[in-house]
Amino acid sequence: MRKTFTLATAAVAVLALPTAAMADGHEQRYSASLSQANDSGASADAELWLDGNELTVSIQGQGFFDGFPHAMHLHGEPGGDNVCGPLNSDEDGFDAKDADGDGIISVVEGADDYGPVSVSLTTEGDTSPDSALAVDRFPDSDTLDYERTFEVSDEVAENLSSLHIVVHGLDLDDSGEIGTVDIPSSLDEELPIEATAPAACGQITASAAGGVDTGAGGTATNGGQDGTGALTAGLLGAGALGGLALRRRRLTGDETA
Amino acid sequence: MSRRQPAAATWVIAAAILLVACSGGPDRSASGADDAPEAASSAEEHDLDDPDTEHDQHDAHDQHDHDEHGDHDEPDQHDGEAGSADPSGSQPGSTEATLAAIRAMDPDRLAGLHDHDAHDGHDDHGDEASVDHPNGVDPERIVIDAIGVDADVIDLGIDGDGRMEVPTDFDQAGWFTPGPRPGRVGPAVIAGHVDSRSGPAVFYRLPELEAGDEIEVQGDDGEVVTFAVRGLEQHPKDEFPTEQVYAGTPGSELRLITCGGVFDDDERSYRDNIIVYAERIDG
Ligand SMILES: [Cu+2]
Repeated sequence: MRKTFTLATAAVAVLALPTAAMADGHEQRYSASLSQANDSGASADAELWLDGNELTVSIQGQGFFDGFPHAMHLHGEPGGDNVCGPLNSDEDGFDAKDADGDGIISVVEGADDYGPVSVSLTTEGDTSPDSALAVDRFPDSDTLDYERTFEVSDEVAENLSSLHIVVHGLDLDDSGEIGTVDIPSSLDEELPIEATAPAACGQITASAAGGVDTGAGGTATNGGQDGTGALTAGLLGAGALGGLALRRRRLTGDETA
Repeated sequence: MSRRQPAAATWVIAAAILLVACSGGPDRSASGADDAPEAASSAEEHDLDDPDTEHDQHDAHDQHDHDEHGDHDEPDQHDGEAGSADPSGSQPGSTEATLAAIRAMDPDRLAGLHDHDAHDGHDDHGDEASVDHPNGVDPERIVIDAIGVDADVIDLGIDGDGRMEVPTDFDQAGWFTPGPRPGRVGPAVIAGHVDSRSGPAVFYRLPELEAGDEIEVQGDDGEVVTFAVRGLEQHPKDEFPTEQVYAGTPGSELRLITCGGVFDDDERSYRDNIIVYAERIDG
């Protein structure tokens, strides 16, 4: 057992630090799988890496309207209870959420669940909520192809797992144009709803690399584990064990375990 | 409860259950609509006005004039009769005209458009309205009657390799703090040791869990959230199902992780992880 590791973890145990992951300066990975909203047919995969307050966001989409800027935001109150919520017509709760009954979840209707803009995922410059509709600083392709590193507030950094990524802008009537549906945006009557309505939403969650080292072997040779061990050995190919040893070696000191 | 003892025969049965679970993959059938990939297509279901016949340029123009004289701060979703504004004179309702309209707007007004009063309180989430502690709890203890677990829960982050930390105390479990709180939407993760160097540890009997067994997580304010086991899986650590364990879920879920499989004496480590998937049931 490595002494430094033991001490660090003991401190966490005693103080119950809410930001254990960031306290030791390691890059924490997050991801989000965005599924369609308003039956857009669009989806996206996002990966996020947080190192202190430096956040890198990468988004690869498919099926978004090609040729109109897609406003993209981290939505939610940091530490709050926001969810994507029902955003498609076949989901439970859609009708209740569609307050004006127009068959479309507007930004305002959607925000009832997914919350306010916390960060604007612009391609350059300001990332505050004030840039929520900075149309010349958002991706405008069907695949989004977004990647950027920027600073976020402590509040956002400590609460990424309570936020969601929302991508806006879609061709609701399949006209090939944004702005043909004669309903105003819920944000401003000068804007058409197609420019601002949500097209996809995905929950951000954290993940750790690889497996978890939660056994020291004290019961491995005393009979209790024999059944499990024998059956599992049959499942493992020889190749599966090769790569394991290499990675294990660095960690042996950490095996508390 | 004493209904199951960690005898050798039970271990064989538990392992057989695990094998079944592993071959079938996680049961996502109960996971709700958020994952539904099918795209019920748009136009017909939305009952939209036909843009070619209904679009009213005069309305749009009037609206624009009206807005030139202020009244900018209270965008009202129920107030709108207008279509897209068209200050550029290009084809009304076109993508180009929409963009031009946005660019022509007062920047200050545009910058203020996120300030709508949307998320008013935490009690109007439709189906979620009845959930106690919708934001989850800061976990302090985990109680699993079925396998005699009643243990402290500490906070865990990641180590220098990006891997999950583990408790140093073999009688404690640990919550992965970068992820969601237990009881909140998403997959909360709690890990614990299967054994120490000398004997069983907090999650020694985890493989005995069966679908439906209840798991209680107590928060630091005494509030409790309750989950039911959906299934168990066993995977080699170097083929750990990261997405299944950590990816977003439409409801509140819980993962319990410990070690299993063959113990590698050279590496002083088990080769596998055993993962319990559970769903919140008191929401
Ligand atoms: Cu947004």
